[in-house]
Amino acid sequence: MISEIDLINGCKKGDKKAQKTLYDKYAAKMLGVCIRYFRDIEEAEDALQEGFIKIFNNIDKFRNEGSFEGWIRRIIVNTSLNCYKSNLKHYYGTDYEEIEEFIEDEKLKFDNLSVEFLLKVIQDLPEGYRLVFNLYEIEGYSHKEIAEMLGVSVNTSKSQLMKAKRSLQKVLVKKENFI
Amino acid sequence: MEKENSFREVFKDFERNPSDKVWANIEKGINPDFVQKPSLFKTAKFWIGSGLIIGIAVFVSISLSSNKQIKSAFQSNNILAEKSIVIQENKIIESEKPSNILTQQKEVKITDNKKESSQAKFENITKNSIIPQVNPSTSDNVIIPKEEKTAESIKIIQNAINQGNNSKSVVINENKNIFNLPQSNPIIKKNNVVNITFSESQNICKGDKAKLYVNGGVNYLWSTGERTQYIIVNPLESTDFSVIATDENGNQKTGLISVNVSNCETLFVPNAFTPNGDGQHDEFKAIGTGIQKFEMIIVSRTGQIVFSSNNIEKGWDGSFRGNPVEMGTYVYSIKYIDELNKPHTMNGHVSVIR
Repeated sequence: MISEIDLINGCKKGDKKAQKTLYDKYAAKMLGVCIRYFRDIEEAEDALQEGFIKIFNNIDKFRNEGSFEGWIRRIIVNTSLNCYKSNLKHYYGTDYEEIEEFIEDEKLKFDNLSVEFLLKVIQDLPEGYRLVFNLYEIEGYSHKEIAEMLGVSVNTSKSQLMKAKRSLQKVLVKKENFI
Repeated sequence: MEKENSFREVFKDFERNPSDKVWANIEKGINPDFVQKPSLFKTAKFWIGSGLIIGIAVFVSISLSSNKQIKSAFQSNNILAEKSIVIQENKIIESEKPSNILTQQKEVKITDNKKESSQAKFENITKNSIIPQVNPSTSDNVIIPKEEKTAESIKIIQNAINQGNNSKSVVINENKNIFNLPQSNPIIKKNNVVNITFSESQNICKGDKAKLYVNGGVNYLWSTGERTQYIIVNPLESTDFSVIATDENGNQKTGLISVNVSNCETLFVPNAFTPNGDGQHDEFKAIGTGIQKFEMIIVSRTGQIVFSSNNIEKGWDGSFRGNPVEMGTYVYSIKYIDELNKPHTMNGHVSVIR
């Protein structure tokens, strides 16, 4: 079993075998990340592809400090955001509305629901909500970081998250009642 | 405020297997063997080198034989040279003294004084980097010994001239990063069929995306710098994209795909009007250009259709059966077909204010 450091060093030298091994190790997981940002698997794969090209072309910038997975995950998330932004006009546009009021955090209940179902629910969120929800709830970025990444205010990020959660809650409750 | 981790937990190990084409495309994107070839076209050295070779070839041939044919070929801007010679001889030429360029330029000027300055054209070649087109009559793999190079170059140029004007030059304007490539000028090796086709030119609305692709081939270089089999673009104005596709035998074909962008958001509908006869905003109507087909109905709050029209020029004056309607909000529904034959539906409301 080849160690991760050897793998990274191999990639830094442009070793094709190392690149393929690294890709095989992380591709499925990273597509799992990408897919939450897009409704369409093809677009998620495009983002994955672009992200990995960036990873391999910039791997010499990884200084073996911190988690390598965290590093590639950040690149994948950023690439997804960029792809999303360039695809933006293709959709009906985002709706980052500023709302002043900010309501208490609501807990989401989703016991006994499959991850596939939750993915579908996330993908079905309106565009603006989905980004913030992914970045905050799953990637774990702070509102401040999200505000910078998306070029919106901190309040917008917060309110989008709120709305996303409410929207999810509605779907989840409906599903619960349905069962 | 504490973050809720449960969603994160659910998706922590979530995986989805990508299709095989993803890795194939990544490999293309990072494989230096693939990158090397097209990037050669971009290097300044290549251009300077190729300019020099053309210069030397012309210089030598003019001074040796004062061959009129070459001059005329030169004037008609059809630069003919053999691709692989240019590449292989690149290093040799580079090592030669740069003062050669000056002598050659002078020489060309003197011999060609009568016509519009061919020196200007010569400079054009060295500066604007006209790509020498591969001549079908010469193989890609001719290797010429150093001492024979001038004589051989002349021969090749003469051969090329005898072939007629079937060669075109390609100008790359690197400043603007736009490749002006000929519409259909495939570089085809003798007796080889290149089985590559390109997607059609398309018309899109401003802000929309267009997917451009190549059928066949293994390597691609788009004018956008991308190297994938297809690209998704959303230009804000009409743009020509070009792509150089290479098949498994190394044959190249260049395609040009135009994306025409139109402004489709062509309909403006006001949200209030004042039918009081003061000459201002007395009529409610949509304003648009290039509308092919138009249909509008206006419904009151009680569901009564108060107005309908198939003519965009015909507006509503705020009356129903001859009587002015009540002030308030009315709902409209407009269906129209824009200049690109794309149907649209617009629903909204309009306030009647008196």
